[in-house]
Amino acid sequence: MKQLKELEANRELQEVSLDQWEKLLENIRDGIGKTNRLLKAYEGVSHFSAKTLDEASYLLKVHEERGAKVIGGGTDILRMVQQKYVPELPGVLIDIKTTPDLAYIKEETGTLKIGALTCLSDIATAELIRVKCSILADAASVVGSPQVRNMATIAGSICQDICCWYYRADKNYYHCLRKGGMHCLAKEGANRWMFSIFGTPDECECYATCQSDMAITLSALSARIQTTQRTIPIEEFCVPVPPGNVLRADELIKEIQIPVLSPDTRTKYSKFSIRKCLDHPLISVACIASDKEAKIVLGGVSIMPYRAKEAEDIIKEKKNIDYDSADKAGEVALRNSVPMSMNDWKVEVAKTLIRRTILALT
Amino acid sequence: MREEMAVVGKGIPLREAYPKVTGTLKYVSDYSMLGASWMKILRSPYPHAKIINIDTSKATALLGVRAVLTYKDVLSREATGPSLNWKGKILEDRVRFVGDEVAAIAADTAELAESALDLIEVEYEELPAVFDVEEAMKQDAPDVRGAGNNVVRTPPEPGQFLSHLEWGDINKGLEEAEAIVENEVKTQSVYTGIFPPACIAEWNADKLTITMAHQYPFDMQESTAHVLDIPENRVRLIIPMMPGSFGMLLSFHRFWCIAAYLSKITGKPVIYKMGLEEYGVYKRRDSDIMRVKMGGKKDGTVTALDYINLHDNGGYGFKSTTYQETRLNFVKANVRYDACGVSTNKISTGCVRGVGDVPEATSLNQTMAMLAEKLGVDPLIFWKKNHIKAGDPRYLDLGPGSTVSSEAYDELIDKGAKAIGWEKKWKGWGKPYEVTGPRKKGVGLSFSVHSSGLPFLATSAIVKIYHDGTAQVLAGSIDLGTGCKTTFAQICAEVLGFRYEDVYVIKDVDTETVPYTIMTGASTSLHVEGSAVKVASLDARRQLLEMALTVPWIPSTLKKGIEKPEELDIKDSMIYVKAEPSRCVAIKEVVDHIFAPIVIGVAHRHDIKVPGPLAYSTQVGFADVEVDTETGRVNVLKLVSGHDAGRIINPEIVENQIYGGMLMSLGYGLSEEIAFDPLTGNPLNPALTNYWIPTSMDMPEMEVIFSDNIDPVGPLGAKGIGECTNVIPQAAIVNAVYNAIGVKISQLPITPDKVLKALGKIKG
Repeated sequence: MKQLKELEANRELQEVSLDQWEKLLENIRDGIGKTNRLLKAYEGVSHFSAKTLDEASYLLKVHEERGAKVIGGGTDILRMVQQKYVPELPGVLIDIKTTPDLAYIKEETGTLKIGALTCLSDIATAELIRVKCSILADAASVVGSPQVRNMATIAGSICQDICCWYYRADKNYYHCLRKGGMHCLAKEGANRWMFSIFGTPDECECYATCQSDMAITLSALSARIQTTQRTIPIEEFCVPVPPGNVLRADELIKEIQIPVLSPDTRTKYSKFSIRKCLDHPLISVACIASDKEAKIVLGGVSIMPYRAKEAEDIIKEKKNIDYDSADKAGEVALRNSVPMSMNDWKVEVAKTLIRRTILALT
Repeated sequence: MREEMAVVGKGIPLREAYPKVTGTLKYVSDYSMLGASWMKILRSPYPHAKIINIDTSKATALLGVRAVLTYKDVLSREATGPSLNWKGKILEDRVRFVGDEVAAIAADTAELAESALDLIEVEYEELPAVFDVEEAMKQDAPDVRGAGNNVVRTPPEPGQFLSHLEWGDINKGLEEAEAIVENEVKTQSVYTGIFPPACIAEWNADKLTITMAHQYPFDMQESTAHVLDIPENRVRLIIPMMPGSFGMLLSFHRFWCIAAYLSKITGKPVIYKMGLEEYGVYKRRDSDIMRVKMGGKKDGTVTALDYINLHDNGGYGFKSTTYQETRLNFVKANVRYDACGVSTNKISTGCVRGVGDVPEATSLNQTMAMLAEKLGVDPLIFWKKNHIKAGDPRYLDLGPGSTVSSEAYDELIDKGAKAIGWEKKWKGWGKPYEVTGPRKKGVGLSFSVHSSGLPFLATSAIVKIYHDGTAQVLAGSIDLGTGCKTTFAQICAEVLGFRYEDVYVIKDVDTETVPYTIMTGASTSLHVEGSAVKVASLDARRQLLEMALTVPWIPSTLKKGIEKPEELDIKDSMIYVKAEPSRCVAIKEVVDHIFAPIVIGVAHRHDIKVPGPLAYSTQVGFADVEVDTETGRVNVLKLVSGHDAGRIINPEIVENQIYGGMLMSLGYGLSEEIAFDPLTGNPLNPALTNYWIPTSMDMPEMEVIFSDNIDPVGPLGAKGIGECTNVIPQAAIVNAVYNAIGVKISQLPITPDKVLKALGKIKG
């Protein structure tokens, strides 16, 4: 601005051609316009503390244009804000930690109900969950670190953004498929770790995987997501296309509902990661089996929690599953796998992990 | 000197431990300065490109932006030199890796500076890039440095950095050999310190002051003066306490020079705090390709070692060799060594804790295991038979008597074998000692040599005794989490005869007040700077005793009948008569007088006797591992780390060093690796997400073993071992994995996929 004023003041004194002058002026104006947009993106992060979910929903709607997002524990969204890994950063954050009575664990009419803001450390230790749904407590106890579990909420966990290292490259370095790019960079790139071994769904050719311990386990538990507007089964809640779930712009998760398991149900969650903590699952298996039904859901192998239906059939209605059946279940589950250039190891490990999980059901 | 030690050998807690854990200790990134501008750096999106045009007018026009710096605004002077690990200009019209510096902005706030970066318009001409070391070595490869990619140094350049070394006759050695093995080992690139550096640069009239973290302040003073073309005596560096740097800040970097330029232009102090994601593009350990050919006799002696090392220098690294010492163990064999540093379009490499010995120990120990198996020699015998001994010559002639001062291999191998339960667990090469379903257990060992005292490194120190009877040590070594300030205080207190509480080692190193010290690196602080502290303390002690006999204000009860200072001694900060200890006077009474000077004890280069023998730290590692042959996971059950640390000044500090070294080594061996995007060479895990540094949960049982050795040349018999701690465990793990599964894995880190591939379970 200072320069602009100086230029204007000096216009008559200096011999500047009109063309030159206009070009300069245009340059500076363009710059200012661009800067203003940038500044808006940076300084314009407004923070609202909602007192009720209705208020939060209202705020989401009002600030939709500025990419309003909900912040709970913040363990995931703050990484987006700090690392700026998406082109359009949220301009408004709506805090729902200020909403009372959203952290609870209770049992009502054959359903376990967990409030959206219940943190993972509470889920890992709650007596009710340990007794009625130990698999969820086990899965919650292996997420991140104690500090992360104290902050992260169950609702945030199932809305967790995908953790592909191309997608999450700092300052939005890669124009990847999820950001409107033409190709998934992992396809020809470094795809050894957090990538798919089951190809991609038709609607989205993204090779990233679901690495949310909670979403994987809740899928196996046939959980329902109670939002401010409707109740959605978890398998319909998660979708491959960005942003990864079906929540509408002004919709918030209120509660997670899990049908209480029959007393003869045996469960097990196994997680395979490089470290023993502070790590996402590279492969994980959530397995639930009762006299009547069986469910096997794999994580870290596909963009969505992957249900191994054929493997379920093998262990279904079996009281005592022997080694061979468990082994066969692993083989069958991976029958349709199509590993990428560097991740065929995951197929082997997934087979083993399925067998071991089935044999370790308790 | 008394034989029993009053302060040395005690596990005194680190001076700065409490301030560190309570967050009251200030690091550079905690500093601020009134009226300062904030700097941000524009980084290259291309791995290799020429800048055709750079337009900063829009950024300059923005209110609050104080200055924009591009290559057009800086001198075309090059920072170079073997010790810098770096060669290049402050800014250039060429970028050599994704994240390379293009331009910088100083603005009123950090946020504004960052936003304004987007207003700089740069037109690039993309150039072909190369990321693979072997590709980059080829004649027709893209030229990264503009002077060929291969860095090789031959005489008459300084001996320390030569690319080719030879002793004995390699052909004769191979002829004599009854068995010969060949091995190729590849190691990966890893990150160094885990903190993003920061700096504050300020011009005051004709003087430049830079506050930053660095391990090599005086050399940086020189090179900073050189690239900015100002006299060295007008550059002042202040180095506050720093977190673990592990070599990240042993090299030259551009950022403080860019800040210095911006400070000159703006007339304000300029603060730069690197973002976590930027830290990822600063420094890494080189990845190495090592080709080893080793031959030996059935009696267990190695006769020949032919060794080739190719290491990645990245964009600006400039090493011809990676400073390796482990081969010193084969000083009696016939050895040929060739190294080549290779430039690639990836982030620059430099020295990292243990430097070249980490990859070298990995490759040599694995090849030794292969040879011992082929020769049919028991490992304990083989390793005991092939190591350096006290009095052996060093392979590079550094003057008369340049031999190795002491070692303790046999003792450490025996103690370590006992600690790991070798007798029960050793079942032969490639044979597990226990099999439970798919899980197989095995043990392995490794050894290495690493520098610990290089007396040709120049150094100096000052010990001041103040009027209240307290001592202050001015030593140029930087405490990068190594505890050297506490260790020096112990040495000084011991030599002076002071109480430990009465000695203080200055925290911040200021090149204007601290006497010259070459560097804090190569595990030499204790030996080199510690010797200077000892000599300066002796000088101060001599002066105190002389004063006690000569100055008039000392009560005659002490002086009566005493003629020589030797008849007096100091203990617990009291001077007393040796023959009659009840006749004593407090130090304070000697120095607390209106006419008393502050006693200044001095040690400089010439006072420190350069002894013939050189101190080397020798270390032995044992690992006990369990490999899950179905998932490929390697689970380390126990690590034993045996060290010859000479006389131990502070056992707590030394043990902590060793535990930390085991953690770094475990990560290097099993999980840590910078993942480079094959298309751009861009690191995919720069902010340490999906970069698997072991957590406390991942650590196995650890046991530390010390030798009883007292080094003849070290200060009070001590040796430094800072880096030696992460040189051996990964090599022991590699050998243990082989013994567990019977298949050799020669590429680090040993991740599940590599194990499954080695077992033939996947194609990989």
